[in-house]
Amino acid sequence: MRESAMMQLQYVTAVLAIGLVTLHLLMQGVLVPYGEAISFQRVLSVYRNAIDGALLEVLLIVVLAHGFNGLRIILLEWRQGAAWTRGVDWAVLLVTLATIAYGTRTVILAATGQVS
Amino acid sequence: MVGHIGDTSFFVGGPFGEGPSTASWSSDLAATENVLGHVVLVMVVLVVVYHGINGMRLILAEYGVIFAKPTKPDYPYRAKSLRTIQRHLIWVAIIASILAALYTGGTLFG
Amino acid sequence: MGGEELALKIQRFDPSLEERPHLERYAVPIKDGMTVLDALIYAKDRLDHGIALRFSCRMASCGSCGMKINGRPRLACETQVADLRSSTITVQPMDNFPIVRDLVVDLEPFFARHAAVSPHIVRKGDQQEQDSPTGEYLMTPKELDSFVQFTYCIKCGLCSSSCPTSSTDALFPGPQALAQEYRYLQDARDEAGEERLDLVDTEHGVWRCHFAGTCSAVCPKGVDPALGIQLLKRHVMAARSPLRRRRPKTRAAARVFPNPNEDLLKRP
Repeated sequence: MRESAMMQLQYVTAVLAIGLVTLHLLMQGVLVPYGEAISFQRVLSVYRNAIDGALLEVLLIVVLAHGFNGLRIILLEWRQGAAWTRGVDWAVLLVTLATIAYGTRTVILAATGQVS
Repeated sequence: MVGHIGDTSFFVGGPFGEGPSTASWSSDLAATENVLGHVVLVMVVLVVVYHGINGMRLILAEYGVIFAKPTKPDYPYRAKSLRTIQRHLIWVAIIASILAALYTGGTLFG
Repeated sequence: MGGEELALKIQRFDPSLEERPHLERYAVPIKDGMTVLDALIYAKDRLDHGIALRFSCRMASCGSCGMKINGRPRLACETQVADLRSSTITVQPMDNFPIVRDLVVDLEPFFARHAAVSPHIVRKGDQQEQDSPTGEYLMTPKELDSFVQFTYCIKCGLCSSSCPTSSTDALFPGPQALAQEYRYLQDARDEAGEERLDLVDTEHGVWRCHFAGTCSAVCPKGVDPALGIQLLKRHVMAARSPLRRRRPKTRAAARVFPNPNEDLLKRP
């Protein structure tokens, strides 16, 4: 895929991330006092709320896509070569998908799992 | 980023958990709610706020909202692209990130 | 200011004899209006004939004397000793280039990167006109203004030596080549726009510029390569965006205008 397509992804996720990360930081420490924000009950209610949970999932995907693509760019600037480039491209894609999967699992389990 | 996703997953009992668990979450909080954990969070806020505002500055400068138009160079041959208002936005980014980090530090340690 | 002495430290390095460079100190008497190039020539002429350096026009026109002076890439002929406000001046070869000897660097990779962007007018389907010209390609002043500042490049290499991406990414064309690519993209007479955009839209192309701006800060001719590169990014994005607009209005095909004095230029 063309590099300009990767950069469009980078820009789109960047703009989305600015909004979502700001919202996340505000929700975790400014609009809600920090101590309360990380209490079990509060966290549970956030995951169980459809909109809040969905926002967290979108935040997850956007930040991971942006961050790992950025890491790919840094690694490609650091070293060049056909094997290195192929390796980095695939490794970054896999790690991104794997981390998104793991985080999504947290979101789904929290929203639907049995409380213990 | 990865660390945060990892540690928040203990809300549901970690990689091998099955659902929200107060016990697992308490142990996760016990492990991260300490001086080192707070320092890490403050640094994250510092870096993320700086990266975000600087990023906005770059997008504005590169894609034309704050922009210089090509002209004929003349003495003393100073580059126009570096002299628009975008220079000062770097300071906005630095100051905002320091303020955000101080606020976070205050909230976490105070 | 006469009668004072300047401590000129020059980096010496002969790869065939030494493992690493070292600084040597020369005492040069200061004269009014002296440039760093004057000091270097004095040192080479009177103190140590072995100093290797490049210079030619001594008026910031040829681009030969680019070097790192007191830590900043500059043209030696244009740098006044008095402006440096220091009695010690350290001169080293430009960064990001292989050192040939002392202050002379190998510019072949630099010229190769420039050549790789086809720095000339490319026309298609115009062979008839190329072979037996009937007139000139003209542009409006507005069309010219959109790129003329990038034609001022003297290929001194200072921009590429200051670029942080160039120092780590060996496949990055560098600010000089990218700015020249923009110069030809915008030139109304050039018809290879699509190919030029494709050339820089790669993993190590225009996107690896992060607008540090050091290139424009050190350019002695006001070319402002950083501006050219950001404009280039804009063109690539516009050409690739889903809301595909026609290329920006400033690009117009240049027309052939018959020369009004055609009969005076009778060609055999």
